[in-house]
Amino acid sequence: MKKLSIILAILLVLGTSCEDFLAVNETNPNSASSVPANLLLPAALNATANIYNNPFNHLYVYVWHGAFSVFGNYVANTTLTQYNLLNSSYQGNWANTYLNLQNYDYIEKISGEPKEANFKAIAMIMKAYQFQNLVDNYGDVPYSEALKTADGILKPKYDKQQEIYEDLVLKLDEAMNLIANAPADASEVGDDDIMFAGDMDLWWKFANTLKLRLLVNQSGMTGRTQYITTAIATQPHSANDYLGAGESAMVNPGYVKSEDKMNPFWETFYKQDDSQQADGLTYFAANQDACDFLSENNDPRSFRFFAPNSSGVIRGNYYGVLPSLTSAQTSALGPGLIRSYDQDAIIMTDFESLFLQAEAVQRGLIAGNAAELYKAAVTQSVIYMGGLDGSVAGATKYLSQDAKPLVSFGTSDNKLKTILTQKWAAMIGISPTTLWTDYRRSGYPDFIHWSGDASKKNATPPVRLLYPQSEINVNNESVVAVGTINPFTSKIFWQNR
Amino acid sequence: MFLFVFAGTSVLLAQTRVITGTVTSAVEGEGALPGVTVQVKGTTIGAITDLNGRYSVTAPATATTLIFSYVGMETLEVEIGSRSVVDVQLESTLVGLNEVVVTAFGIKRQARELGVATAQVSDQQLTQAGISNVVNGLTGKVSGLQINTVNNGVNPDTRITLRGNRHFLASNQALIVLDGVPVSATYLNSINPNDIANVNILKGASASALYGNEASNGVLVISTKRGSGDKPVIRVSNTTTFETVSYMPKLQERFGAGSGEDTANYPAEYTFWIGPDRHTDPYTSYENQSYGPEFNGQMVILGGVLQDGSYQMIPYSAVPNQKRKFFDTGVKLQNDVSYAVGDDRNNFYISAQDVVGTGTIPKDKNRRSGFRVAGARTTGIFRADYSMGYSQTNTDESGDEYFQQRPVYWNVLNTPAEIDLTNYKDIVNNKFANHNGYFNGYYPNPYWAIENSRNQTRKDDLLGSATVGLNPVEWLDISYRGGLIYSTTDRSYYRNGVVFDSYYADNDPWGAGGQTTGSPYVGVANEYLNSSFILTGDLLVQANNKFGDFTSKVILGNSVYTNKYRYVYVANNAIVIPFLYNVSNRLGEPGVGQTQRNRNSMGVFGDITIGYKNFAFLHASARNDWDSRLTKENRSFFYPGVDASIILSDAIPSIKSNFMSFLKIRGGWSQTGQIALDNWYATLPSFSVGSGFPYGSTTGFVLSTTLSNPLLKPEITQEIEAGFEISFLRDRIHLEVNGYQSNTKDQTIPATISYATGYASAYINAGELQTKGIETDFRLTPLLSLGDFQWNVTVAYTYNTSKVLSIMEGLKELPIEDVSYAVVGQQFPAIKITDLKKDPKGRIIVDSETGMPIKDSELKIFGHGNPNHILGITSNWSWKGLSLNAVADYRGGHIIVNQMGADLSFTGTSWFSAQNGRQNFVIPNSVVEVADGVFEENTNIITKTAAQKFWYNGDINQVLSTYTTSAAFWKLREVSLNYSIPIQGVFNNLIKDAQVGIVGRNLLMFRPVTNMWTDPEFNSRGGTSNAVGYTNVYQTPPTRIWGFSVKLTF
Repeated sequence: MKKLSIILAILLVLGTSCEDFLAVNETNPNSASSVPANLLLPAALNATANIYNNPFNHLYVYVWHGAFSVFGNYVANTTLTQYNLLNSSYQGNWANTYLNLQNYDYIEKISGEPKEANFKAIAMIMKAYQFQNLVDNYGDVPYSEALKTADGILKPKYDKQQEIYEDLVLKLDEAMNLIANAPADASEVGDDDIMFAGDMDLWWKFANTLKLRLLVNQSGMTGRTQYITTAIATQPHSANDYLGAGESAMVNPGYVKSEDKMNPFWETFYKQDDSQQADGLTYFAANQDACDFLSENNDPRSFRFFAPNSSGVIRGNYYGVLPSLTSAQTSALGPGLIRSYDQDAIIMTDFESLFLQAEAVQRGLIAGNAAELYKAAVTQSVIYMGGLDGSVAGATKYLSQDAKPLVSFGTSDNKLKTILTQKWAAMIGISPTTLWTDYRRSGYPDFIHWSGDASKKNATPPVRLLYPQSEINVNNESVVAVGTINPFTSKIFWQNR
Repeated sequence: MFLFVFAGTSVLLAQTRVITGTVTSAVEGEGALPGVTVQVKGTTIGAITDLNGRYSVTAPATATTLIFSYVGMETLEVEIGSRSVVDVQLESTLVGLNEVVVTAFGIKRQARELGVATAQVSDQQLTQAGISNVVNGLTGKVSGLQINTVNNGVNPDTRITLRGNRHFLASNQALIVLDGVPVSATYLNSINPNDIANVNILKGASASALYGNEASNGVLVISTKRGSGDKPVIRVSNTTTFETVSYMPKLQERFGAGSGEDTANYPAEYTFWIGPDRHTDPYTSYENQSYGPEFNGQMVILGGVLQDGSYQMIPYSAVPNQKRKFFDTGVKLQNDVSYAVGDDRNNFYISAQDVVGTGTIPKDKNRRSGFRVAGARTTGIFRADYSMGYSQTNTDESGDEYFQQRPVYWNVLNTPAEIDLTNYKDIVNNKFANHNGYFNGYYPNPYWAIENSRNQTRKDDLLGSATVGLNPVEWLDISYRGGLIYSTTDRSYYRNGVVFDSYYADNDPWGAGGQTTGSPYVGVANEYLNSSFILTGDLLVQANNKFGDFTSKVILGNSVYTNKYRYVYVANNAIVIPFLYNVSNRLGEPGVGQTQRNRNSMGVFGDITIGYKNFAFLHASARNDWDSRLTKENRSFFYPGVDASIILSDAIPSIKSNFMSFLKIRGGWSQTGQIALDNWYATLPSFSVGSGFPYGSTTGFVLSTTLSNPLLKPEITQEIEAGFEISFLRDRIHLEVNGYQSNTKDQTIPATISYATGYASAYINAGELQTKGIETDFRLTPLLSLGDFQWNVTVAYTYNTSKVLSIMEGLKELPIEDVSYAVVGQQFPAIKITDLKKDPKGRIIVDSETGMPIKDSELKIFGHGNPNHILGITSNWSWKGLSLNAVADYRGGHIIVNQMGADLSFTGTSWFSAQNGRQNFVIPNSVVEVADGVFEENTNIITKTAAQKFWYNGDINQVLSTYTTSAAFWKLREVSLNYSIPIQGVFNNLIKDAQVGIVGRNLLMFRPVTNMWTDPEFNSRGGTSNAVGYTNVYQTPPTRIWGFSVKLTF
């Protein structure tokens, strides 16, 4: 009996030590298994900024629409010169956007308490920002079933683009209401917010501006005005209710002059010792359409967008047209775009908001003075681009050229054209997605030279991206359910032209 | 063991005496042996036994010993003494009869009782060609075993599989068990091949069920040498080998530097049209691409005018052997010494080895030094045994260049044929070789990376095991073995910065628009440290019993395993002071990272073998494992196995004859579990620090892009096999045939899922891969025997095929890496690549306007990367002290994608890109679509362009099918000629044996002519990846190795 109990005791000890012995993988020494919202937010915002501020991610927009071209010593990318979009083209934008959305969605989910209203609102606003970009690039995308692995959904269905847009407007209203009605003891976001430093008024304005962008994008559609004006009316909408001059949505986590820690736009071009990034500065050149527009209108931003060539002027290639100029004859990107390693990353500039408001007023969607908003927009762009003429005076001088209908609002006989053409110029190197969306929905600017490649697949560039190959591979039924996609004719729903 | 039959009376003779006798076989039922050679030791006097096994020999009076030798029998030396009649019985050496196979935990079992396929490679077979890496010595020698040398270099990486692939993503490499301790396949690079006594290959999952978790891919059980014989034996040897590049990709020697880009604006002084040939582009003096005019021998400027006004003029003609000349002859010196002594109770072995070598890429070098000690002592019922080896491997290889971070080989290939690269070796003193003056505007001098960018690795491996045993009664043995593996790797990588003089950097005076304008280029220096510490403990209780006609062998055991892994790196991303490779000498912040992983597992197992009359055997095993990598609910898993064998030739003696001497049939079934997780914490959700963070005091985290899964369980492999062994003519002919099928289900895959889920992938258990095949080993020993001349041949043939039965619901394919996929219904890994548009008959469709082919954007399956047929032929000729060994092998049925082909089309140095002389041409076997779905042969539409725009800038370059070929090859893998110098009696018998030899490896390779690129055995992803079938310029050209060896035994 005694022996038996000794054996039992030994077995017991062995049994427990076995449990411990086999428990070594129950905590991960390499990464955390749960993280609070305030530690997730900075990385999520930074990831969003990285997507939109790396010019390679949006090269297709820039080279197709008169902004940039490629230096002559690089072999041309036939996918782009021939408008030959593939399912494998720009897959990274889709992937990174959804991966980023997952983080905002997680913040939204763990911020259920009323106290966490600010975190929740920010997460909802950024989700709307990201989903809008997805719709603008792809049309129908997974939305209602996206980010639902907790419900076992691994193959989310694609929702109708217009329905997503409409729901995003409601979500933004909800986020604005959350901010407006946040309890007094709501957690402050503070410096974890690397965009507005916890200023919830600016978040509210940003949400309202985003909402306006969603609605103005649809303004060219027939029979849509009633919906738009009704939607706008659910929130205050005077000029002060949108991002105004000096209220740009910019992300800066505290960039450091060190690899992978610099502003992503800057880092595409320069390394920490100020030397050029391979495939960076020597790759991007000016587009002659942009040079023509800037030069013809005596633009104070000319040498800020583009560096002078060996002859001291700005000059570029029309994309896909051969012979291309030599490197020395061509302009590289200028100091207004490539500013410094710690320049803010752009989410939405104040001048984009002002152009948007000018257009909304011009279209009669909101009240205000379109001319003043337009002038403020151009002025903010000129100031942003900097340099000797980067001042109110420089902008005023520029805007007063009555003989230039694409500059002077007063003398313009097509004010929408003037607003959107100027907006195109202001968005070069600043906001590729806005530039592309505006062109597709309005047709401005109307002077772009299309690719000179004789083998191009279509006379004009694609109007959307193709669903990534990864979706065709692993979410096939959902992609098939959308129907056949033609990159030249399957327009985004708001593209009414 | 030996039975001596004493008979007759003694007869004494004065000068000579006649000795007679009968030779019989010890094998039951075989009786007298005719044809046995009987020799008087120390003389040439001898005789042969007659049909009744009788002999008669007239020996000198001084004769003391007779030597009896016969094929398939142990050679026997018998003291004559005073006898005149010496009858002997010879023991059989037949494989499958008395051969001992070392199986799990070092348990020795008779080959005849095994129900599953095994094979042995002896030390002599292994090292006959003077190898320095164990793996090389195994290639081609055993069926079912596939060894790929996946790259060249001074410390080449290899991939070892048994019976093909069982897993999609988990390692398919065989488990290595060294002196009872499981180690990973990479450890084989660290072992001295001369320390190895033998390698037992347990081909299937069945034979290895007892090893548990790691053994589903088959096992190589390696035993190291022990001392034997009571006189000390000292062996000293040297092997010196030379390695040269054997094959380059097929290159063109007709066209020089020029690019197809528009050259209207190129500076005139560096650009010439040569001759009337306007199909090509002008010569461009600083161009990397070779799309210039045809060579004509005229003097042209090379590169540009340097700041001091100097420039180079060279004849515009191809330099013979230009790219091959760049490579060196590698020299490897291998020195060995060993000391062994022992008897049946005590033994001791100590050895040391130093292998120092240089590679074919200039300045690459490798050195491995190590020693091993082993010993055993038996005292009464106690037994102790230990073995410990240590090795240090230092590898120093060239890295990448400053501009586009390309490897040396890429920059060699991007050198037009008129340039003699070897003139630009001296990058310090030659102003045309340093970065400022080097001719190539776009790719740095390959010698720059050799001098300025290095990967230096030091690897220390310590492996030891110690066993204590207790043998209290004859039928019972209890032992405990502790094993320890401690490995550390310290890798330094650096690349210097480069600053172009302002004359070149600021003005781009040659107008190349290339590397000078990006100056300065920052230097980097990284340091990676990792250590792995593994402890194993195995308790083993063996009991052997005999009950009448039955024998039983029972094994019970317990196994404990613990593994701790640590990894740290620091990266200096911007060196400040040149040549100072320290992390503190930097701009900006250092890159840092850390990984630590622990895992523990334990298992209990039982194993029983029942034998009946030593001709029928039934064997069963069972094991249960608990592994910490899975959650508590799923961490316990069980695997059983059963096999049986019957020696029919013993069970039914009537079927045995002088013709057929042995017949065995066997079969087995087993189930093995394997946890296939690279990430040992895959059951937990995880958040990592966001890209770029922390920024000062701001940090941020992101969700893992892989969805964790707490429900993960092991992959289960079920394998059945059956086979037979048959011998004819006293084992002169031996045939072993084995069929197998394994099914591995519940594969652990980080399945790619829709990004719209918010994740890139999810760990799941899904999918099933079936592998089946036939292994055949055929031996002719000898094929031919004429006096002293003997010719033995062994043929090992394997047919292996696989089929992906499922992946997961709704998912038909799973990307592995590069061009490899698991595709339902296809062999694994399927190669899926882009192709040109083709008509239903497979002819290329060309554009009716331009004559150009059109890329089909759909990926297509072209074949698979793993061979279906593996054939190895080993041949051995011996005549007196001379022996010649050769191993040749063939593989076929698979394909290889040569990315290098596309790279060479880009640069225009390949024969492929110049096959039409850069003339516009009608694409052979092409068609035009004349109406929807109607194709007509194209006879007259020539391509719009033929030079750079066709080969690189057109669709043809982007389709990998253009560079995809059969991966079949024949290789003459090993040849060795050894001579035993008759040294007995010289130097006072100080030297017992002296051997000199000539060795050669990879002497010849035959490939289909379409494969003009590289060795199809290569693989871009190293030994651990399952994505076989893809090579690129990171694999340097294949090499041929030859040399000589001297071995002395004291």
